[in-house]
Amino acid sequence: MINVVEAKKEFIRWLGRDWYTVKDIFDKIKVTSFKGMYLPLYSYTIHYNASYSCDISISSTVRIDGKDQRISSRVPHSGTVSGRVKGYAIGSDFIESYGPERVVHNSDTDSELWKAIEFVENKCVYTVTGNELENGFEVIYHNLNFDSVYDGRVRSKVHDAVERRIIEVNSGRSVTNIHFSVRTNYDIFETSQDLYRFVYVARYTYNGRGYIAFIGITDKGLECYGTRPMDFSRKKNNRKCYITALMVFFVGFVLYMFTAIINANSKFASVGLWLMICGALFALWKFLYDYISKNITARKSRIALTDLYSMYKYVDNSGAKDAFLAISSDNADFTNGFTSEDATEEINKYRALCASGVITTEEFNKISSELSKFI
Amino acid sequence: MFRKKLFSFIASMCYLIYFAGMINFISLNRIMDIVYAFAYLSIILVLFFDMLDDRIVKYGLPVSLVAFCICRFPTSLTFSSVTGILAYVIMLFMSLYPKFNQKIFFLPPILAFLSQMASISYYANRITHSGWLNAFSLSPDLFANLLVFVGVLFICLSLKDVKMESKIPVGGADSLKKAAELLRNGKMSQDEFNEIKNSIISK
Repeated sequence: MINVVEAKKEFIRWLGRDWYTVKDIFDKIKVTSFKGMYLPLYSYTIHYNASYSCDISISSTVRIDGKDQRISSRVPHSGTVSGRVKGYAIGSDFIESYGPERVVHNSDTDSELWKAIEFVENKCVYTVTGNELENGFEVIYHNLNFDSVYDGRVRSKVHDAVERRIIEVNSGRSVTNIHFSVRTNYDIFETSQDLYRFVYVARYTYNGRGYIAFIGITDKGLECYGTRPMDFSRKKNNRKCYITALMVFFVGFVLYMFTAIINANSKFASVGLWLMICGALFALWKFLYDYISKNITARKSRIALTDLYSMYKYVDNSGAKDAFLAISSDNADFTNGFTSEDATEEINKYRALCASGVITTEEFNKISSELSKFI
Repeated sequence: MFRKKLFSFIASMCYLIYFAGMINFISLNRIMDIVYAFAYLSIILVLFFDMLDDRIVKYGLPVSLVAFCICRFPTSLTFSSVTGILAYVIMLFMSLYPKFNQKIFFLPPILAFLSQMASISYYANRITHSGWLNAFSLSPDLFANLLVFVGVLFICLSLKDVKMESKIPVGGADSLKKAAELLRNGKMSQDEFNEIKNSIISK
């Protein structure tokens, strides 16, 4: 049984575990729903009949005025391809219909969304035990949206089949302007109950834009997939770092090449060599740093008590408060403490809280004696 | 945190370049040379892998700084050698007691700068008898001396950002303030507020 608390913990961990997740995610996130769902897995068979047309360039050599000249001409070509595609797909119409905010679609989130749907269809394993209703999930039947199945799973296969056919028929010739139109008919069957997928679906918004995440159980344990808001300026900054490393390397290389030609023992040559080494090491360091931050630091520091308030907003949904309390005790960030400046500032904040009556004088004294150790 | 780790990386690069230039002069038959090599290699590795975990610098840096203090121990009381060892002693103190780092982080770079300038002027005087200003054009060691100074500077800047382990969670005051707001707006019950307050205060 997937425990709802564990699922929520995994969801929060997943939110803070990405290279480019926005830093203030826990401040601005608003979880609009977190529900367990049975998603029926449909089997579908799509019969397609694609008629296509294209231009084929045929080149030939003719002799004009005693000289060989290549002439290419374009010949139209058309044909039909038919076949069928079989597969399984979850009913995914809920992605658009369920939840107050529309799920954001752009090139980045769409690929993430497809990964998430594939995760639910292929990796997610679950045996129904019957007591899920006690754990706060709903049985919601979702129909398979034929268009989305065709767009996501079949269109590329039909396109491949058409291209294969054209190449088969016109081997060795270059082909341009491929157009094809497809007529389809399909059979969709709802599969037996043991092929249902059970996942928690989290719908949330960040800055008013909608996102979706699936939390399901796999062979490796709980896993979460979905779309997240991304911080592209961080992505840009990372690119800047790599470009700087490359430039240092390049300047070193140029310096080395120029001076080594004149005098191999020149000091400038060794400076150039060192610039190359530093550039390469910087790129390596930056890569390792990012990789490690993604895997270790993010988990440790982002899910910290700093985010208490914002998480509390999330916790407003029933059952998540336990998840929050469990997380804050598991992952509270006590190791990355204060510098002496931070501690002074923090004491002043607690003093203001004491003045406004949020904490008592005794509590303030306890905190300030603890914090003044750092000053 | 990124700033601290970047400073560590730059310092490690300075020491790497300096050490690579010195490696030909090291003989593994002499015990002091082995300590010298250990000191440089360990500081390069410790600073480079600062990105892995803060504990690497916390436990590793004092060890390599002790090695530095041993191999830099002044055999004669020249201005250069005394200021040099003093810089490393202060850095050792900083790595052991990060509480004072923000107040004294500028001392080791100043001492290192004075030490390196004195050493340049000493050699320049010996070589040219024409004062240390000429050293900039004459001393072959200027680049190396500059590297040591920059290395010390960046270690200290990195140590300045070292954070000390605390029982009070980071950002607790802000969280408490926001929780109090929620309580006032009636979005949170008194019990829930107390639960959160205790999770901050009673650790």
